[in-house]
Amino acid sequence: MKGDPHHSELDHHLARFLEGDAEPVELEALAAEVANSPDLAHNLAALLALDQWLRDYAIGSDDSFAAGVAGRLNEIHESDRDFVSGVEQRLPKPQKKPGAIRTPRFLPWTLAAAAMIFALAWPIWRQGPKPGTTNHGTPVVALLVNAFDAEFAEAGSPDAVSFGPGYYHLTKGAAQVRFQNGADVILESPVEFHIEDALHMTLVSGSVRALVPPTATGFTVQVPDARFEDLGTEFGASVDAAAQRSELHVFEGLVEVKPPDNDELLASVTYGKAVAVDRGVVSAIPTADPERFATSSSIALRRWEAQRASLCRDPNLVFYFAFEDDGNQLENSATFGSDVPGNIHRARWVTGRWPGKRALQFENPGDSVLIDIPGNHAAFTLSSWIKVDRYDHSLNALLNSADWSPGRHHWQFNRLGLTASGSFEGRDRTPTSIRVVPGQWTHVAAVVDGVQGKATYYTNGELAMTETMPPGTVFRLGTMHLGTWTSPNKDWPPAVRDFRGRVDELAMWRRALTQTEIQTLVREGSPLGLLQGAIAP
Amino acid sequence: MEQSDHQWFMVQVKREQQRLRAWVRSLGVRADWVDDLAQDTFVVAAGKLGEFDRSKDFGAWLRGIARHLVINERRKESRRTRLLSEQMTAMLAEHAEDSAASPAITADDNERREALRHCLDQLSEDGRQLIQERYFEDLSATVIAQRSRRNSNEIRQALLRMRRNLLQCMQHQLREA
Repeated sequence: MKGDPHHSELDHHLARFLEGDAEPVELEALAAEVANSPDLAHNLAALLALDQWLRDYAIGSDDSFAAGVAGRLNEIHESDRDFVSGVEQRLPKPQKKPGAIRTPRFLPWTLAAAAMIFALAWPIWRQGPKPGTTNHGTPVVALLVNAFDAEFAEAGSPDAVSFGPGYYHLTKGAAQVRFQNGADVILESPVEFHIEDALHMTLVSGSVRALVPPTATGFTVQVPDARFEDLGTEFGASVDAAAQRSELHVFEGLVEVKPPDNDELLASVTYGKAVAVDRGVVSAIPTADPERFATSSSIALRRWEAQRASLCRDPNLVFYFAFEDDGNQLENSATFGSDVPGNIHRARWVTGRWPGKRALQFENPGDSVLIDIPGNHAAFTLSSWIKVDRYDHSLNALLNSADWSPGRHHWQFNRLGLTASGSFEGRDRTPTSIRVVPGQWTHVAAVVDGVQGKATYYTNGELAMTETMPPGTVFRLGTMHLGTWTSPNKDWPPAVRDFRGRVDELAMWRRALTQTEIQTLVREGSPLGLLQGAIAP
Repeated sequence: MEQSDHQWFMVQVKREQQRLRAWVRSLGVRADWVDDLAQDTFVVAAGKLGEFDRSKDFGAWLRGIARHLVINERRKESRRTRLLSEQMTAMLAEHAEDSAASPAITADDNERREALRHCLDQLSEDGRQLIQERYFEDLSATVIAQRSRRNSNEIRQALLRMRRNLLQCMQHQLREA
């Protein structure tokens, strides 16, 4: 065969075809050969099949494929059901409230989350049955979708999470309200306002930020002596009631300033500009100042900061890395934690879940953090926020024990983003179809209960995998690698499992947390106000 | 689908998936799209499970559906990238009936895995290194070439040789089994 130019040319085309990078002219030539030779066709088919066996062999486990099929069949099944009624069932049941006296109300996150499901379904809802009414008998025109420490005054509070036309007074914290047409208004206490209808609100005092998508163009915030009419944009409005002065700061797009009672155009304010309205007189002021107005993300950051403060004091923490350092070590913030240093090898500090918050980027071979975890553990929980850039390997290790022997644990994801973790003693690994999607900040948790003989893995608070092990299994995690894993053995195949992405926050408890506790970690640490990934309908 | 049908079906998915993926790949589907098309096949099969006679070979029925889906790919302008080459797929699909009879396609997953493991061990040190880089580290021929300062065509040729060796060895193994 050697030296035969015909064969070597055919092999050249064949080799390129198998690698998927043959040029059209090479494919043409190869096709001509295959057309004349059924044997060549069979041989080629066998080589392609072999290629697939090697790929499957390299991946190892094949649970994820079946889970993917089950997931798709389930999706088909789900879409047959009445979506709207499904969403409505998840909403909190209206409560009858006796009398006219109302107390200040803290708005629990579960309600906000339920409202968010409703808000996401709104486009469908609008085409379907009529929207509901509040307990005050008014139609619902807006919903609370995000809040931190929010309290409303007695005389100006929503009905649970539903806002009808009327007066509202946020006395504490911050909140985000989504109007029926899609406009989001972010409120920073103290703020007083009226909701007129789905397109109109009046700001009495305080400041709000409005994000107005094209569906809500024309959304208007009325202030004393003027109204700010939006043309698809993002802006901040503030009112100093005592001074009868208001300001408009435009962060994106265009907002028109008009008198309260007619359509005369007083000013067109564009991106980066700001104006003041002082007793009816409009004047330009220095540039728009986005810092003055709360955002969905700033509400989320405050929520996380409160979470961090309380987490640090949890006596069950082994370690808590908040990722707010900038040196070569991760600092353990757990007040009662063990002496667990995190030694950073090469991984770079980058931006985390919020601007100004840090994370570590794992990008190149060898980027890692070494964490020595002393002692034996009957049970433990790991929790982390990650943003995967891509899955380069069959298995991508987040935090693995250095080797694979009794008492060790590996926490990793496969090429599809499905959890592929486990302990050395584990068996019956059952992944669900819940994935860690690249490009999104995602909360992942591993709850390993050696006493009960059960491990449960969560992605954004949803069940991602379960595993069983003999009850009474004791863990000796030893030296763990964050962001990489290389097989220490001479085994075939020597594995490479580098993680590619960012990690912001990592904690370990010496007990098994419940799913409810995990979901709280997700809600309070989510970089977005709206937990879309976590609580999609 | 009834609960019992669903359970039966998921057992079949686990049993047939590897063979089906290899089959889909052998029809000239791009490696990145194999899982997708194999999943499509199972979804279609689930939809018409009522038409399947359970006394027959489920794998063969699946392969028929997959073949049909892959041939259909050729008619979809926008999805043509799922195939390595429209023309090649036409010819591979034409001869596919015969390839299906080969022991390598019909072998049981464990047997095949064992055969593959055995044959990987028979490769030369360099050969193993190459397969390691190509499959276990998922590096392209071009990247492997850059890393080892070799010509990428040399790498492709060497990979072709390794694959031929493996195939020969596996066919031998599976026939023995």
